[in-house]
Amino acid sequence: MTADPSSPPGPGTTRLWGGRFGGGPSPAMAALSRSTHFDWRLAPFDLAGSRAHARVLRRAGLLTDDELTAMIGALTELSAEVADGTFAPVEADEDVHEALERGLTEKLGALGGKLRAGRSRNDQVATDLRLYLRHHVRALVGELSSLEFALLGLAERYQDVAAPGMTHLQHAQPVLLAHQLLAHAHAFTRDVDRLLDWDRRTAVSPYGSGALAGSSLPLDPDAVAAELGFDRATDNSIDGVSDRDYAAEFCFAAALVGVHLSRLGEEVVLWTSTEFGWARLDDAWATGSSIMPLK
Amino acid sequence: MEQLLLLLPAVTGMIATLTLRPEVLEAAAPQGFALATDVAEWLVRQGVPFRSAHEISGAMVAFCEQAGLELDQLDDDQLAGIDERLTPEVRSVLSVRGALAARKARGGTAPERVAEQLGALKELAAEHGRWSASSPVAAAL
Repeated sequence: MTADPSSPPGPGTTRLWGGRFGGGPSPAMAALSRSTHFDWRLAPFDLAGSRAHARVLRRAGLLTDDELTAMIGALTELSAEVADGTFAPVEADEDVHEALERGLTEKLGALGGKLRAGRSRNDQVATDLRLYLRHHVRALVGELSSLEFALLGLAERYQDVAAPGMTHLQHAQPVLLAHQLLAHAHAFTRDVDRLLDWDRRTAVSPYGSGALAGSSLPLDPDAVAAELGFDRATDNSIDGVSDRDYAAEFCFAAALVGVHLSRLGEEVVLWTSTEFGWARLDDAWATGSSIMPLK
Repeated sequence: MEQLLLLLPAVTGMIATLTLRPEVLEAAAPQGFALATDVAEWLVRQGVPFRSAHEISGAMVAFCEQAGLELDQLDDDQLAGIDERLTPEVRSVLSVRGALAARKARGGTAPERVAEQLGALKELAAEHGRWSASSPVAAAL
């Protein structure tokens, strides 16, 4: 193994730190630090951030046009290989960022090592998670919209049907069944409203914050933010790189969706019971018991 | 996120294909003296304080339970026997349709309020569908 720091590292030697260390971490420490088994889902977003960062490095004069072209080409290739599974993390990769830098240097050699200038895994992961959530929250809202339409369709199909309204499972006052179904639809519209509001707050890019103080290189956080679909870059690098409010907020909003689904599920369980006999499930959406043939 | 994306299509499919049994629901709607609150509120409209109206309606339920009757099966004498303020006109509120139609303030279960909810919710659901259709991140991926 050559000691020349400018030569491209081979597989398994891509650790993003180590210059000031005499030896590598112990196996137990390496196992503790490894996160590719859960952060690999961030890979497409990390690569998107890398392309935006490469363009900013070019505009700062830190890459030539040719270098940028080669880098964007390699990053785009890597995106395709991540998507089809031909590029994946190996045991020695500490995290998604390190695995992808290994992939890049395998393609580009020493040029791959230029991309890391002016960024840290700290601002990378803070950005990646925002991108991952903002992208997938669209799919989530799409699914919630479909569920809203399903509830509205059911309410419309049985719009004039009266049902016993119940409290404590006792007959209380008659209601339209549609009224009760729409109660659930209202809950899901609030869930969506919460996610839309969350998205507005999450549309701030931490990229360019570095580990905490920003970078002395002439980078352009707003250009990165714009390319990645954020409204703007953070005003405070320390806050930008350390803020995980959006993750906690998302967990709450998602948990509440779960609670609302549970409430709806409980109604279906009751309504389809022999005692109630109000509704029948389509066979395509029911599963059976492994011991009781009647279920 | 991933769990919800797995779960939601199944819940939506289940709801979209659910078959309800209107005849069972309609038959069950008035059972269990479900119109007792409507009797109390009818008495209030006749000027009876709710505190007394609640007692009178409760006595009507107790009488029916003893006699094995539903609220709308009591004759004039039985009504007057429970309380003289229970005139035959009380029967006007002893129907499910009447009870539903009467709850017509905003948020109530009256058919016209429910129809309004449906309309407003459809617009919201469509708006949510439109919002979900494009990701600001997609172009960079």
